[in-house]
Formats: sequence, structure tokens, C-alpha cells
Amino acid sequence: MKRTILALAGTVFAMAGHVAAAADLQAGRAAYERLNCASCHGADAKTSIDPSYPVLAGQYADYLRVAMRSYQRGQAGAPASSNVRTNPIMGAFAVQMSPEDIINISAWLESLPSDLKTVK
Amino acid sequence: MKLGILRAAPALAAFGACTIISTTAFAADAPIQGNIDAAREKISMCMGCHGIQGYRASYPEVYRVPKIGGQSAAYIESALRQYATGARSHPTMDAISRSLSDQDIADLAAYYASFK
Repeated sequence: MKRTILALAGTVFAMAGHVAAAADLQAGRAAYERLNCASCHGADAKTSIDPSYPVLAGQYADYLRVAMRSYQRGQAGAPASSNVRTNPIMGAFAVQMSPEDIINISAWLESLPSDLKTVK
Repeated sequence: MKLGILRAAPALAAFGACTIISTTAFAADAPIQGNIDAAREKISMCMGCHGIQGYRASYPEVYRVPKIGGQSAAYIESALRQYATGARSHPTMDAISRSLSDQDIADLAAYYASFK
């Protein structure tokens, strides 16, 4: 019985963790459109209008989240020691994103097909 | 004769200066071409993190380091220069980017962009 309760508790914790981390792909796609990300990065997130803009499709979501938060910190004038990215264009876009936008957009981007890969 | 050389000296100096200036201008105008083969000798600093599937940066934030194979060459160059100038800050990438020459950056960008 005790064992069953422990197992159940474990399952509940695991589910809670999963729900907390769950991102909404459709909401991510909608936010990508609402925030006009496609105007630079392309509707498919890999055909950008300038070669110096990155391919985002297929990139790791956790990296993308850190990148967008870094632009937010940079735009807010945080010191370099807090891992910032200062860029007038991305900074202006990043500050319009809510924490949920960042989680959802990142997850949606990771789900898209592209040539991005880990290579030696 | 000695006097002749002395008289010619300013003209020679001017000629020399022009040659140096024009050579410098030419070097600055010539675009640096990325060399994929040369990059193979330069990727050792990259592959310790970017060459390992799912490798996580542990400091100061935990996340999988980005996939850079198949990324745009111009973006890779831009990102490396931003770390070098401080427009981006990250302890590891700052240090590595500052050790790279313009040629290194062009070679690495061409190499990783070639995996498309």
C-alpha cells in the first residue's frame, strides 16, 4: 500500500512537472505571427530576409528561450555580466514578448523542420 | 651624385607612401573568403560543446548549446563578432571569439554553413 502511494505520488509529481514545462505549439505559432517575427526570419523560420539573420527552425527550444531573454536583458540595460545581447532590432521585438510567448514560440520553432544539426 | 639622391629622397618617400597606402587599401577591399578545409584545423575549440549531441551549457544558465551545423554563414560570422565586441556576452563564447582572426571566423562560418 505504502509502495502504491509512493508510486502514485511520484506519478503526480512527474505529471505536475510535465504540465509546468508544457508549451503550446499552436500558441507559439500564433505568437510568432502576432509579433511579426516572420517579417525578418521568414514564415518558415529558416528563409530570412538577410543572410545574417539565423535559421530558427529546428533549433533547441531551451537555447532559443535563453537567447530571447538575453535580448530582453540587453534592451533593459542590464550589465554585460548578466549575459546580454544588445541589438536594436531584436531588442525591440523581444521586449514585446511575455514569458509564455517565449516558451511557446521556442517550442514551436524547435518542432519545425530544417537543416540545423549538431556536427563535429 | 650624393646630392642627387638627397634631392630625389622626398619623391621616393612620397612614392613609397603611396605604394603602402594603395596596398593597404587593396587588402581591406579584398573580401576574406572562408576556407572549409582550413576550418578543419580550427574547430577543436568549437566541437567540445557544439559537436556533442544535446550538450548543455552549465554556466551561467543551463540549456543545450545551439546547433550550428547548417546555420547561415553570415549569421555565424555576425554572432562571433558580437561576442568579440561585447554586443553579446557569454563567458565562454566571449573568450573564444576574441581569440579568432577575421580569417578564422570566415573559415568557421563557411565550414558550419556547409552542412546544409
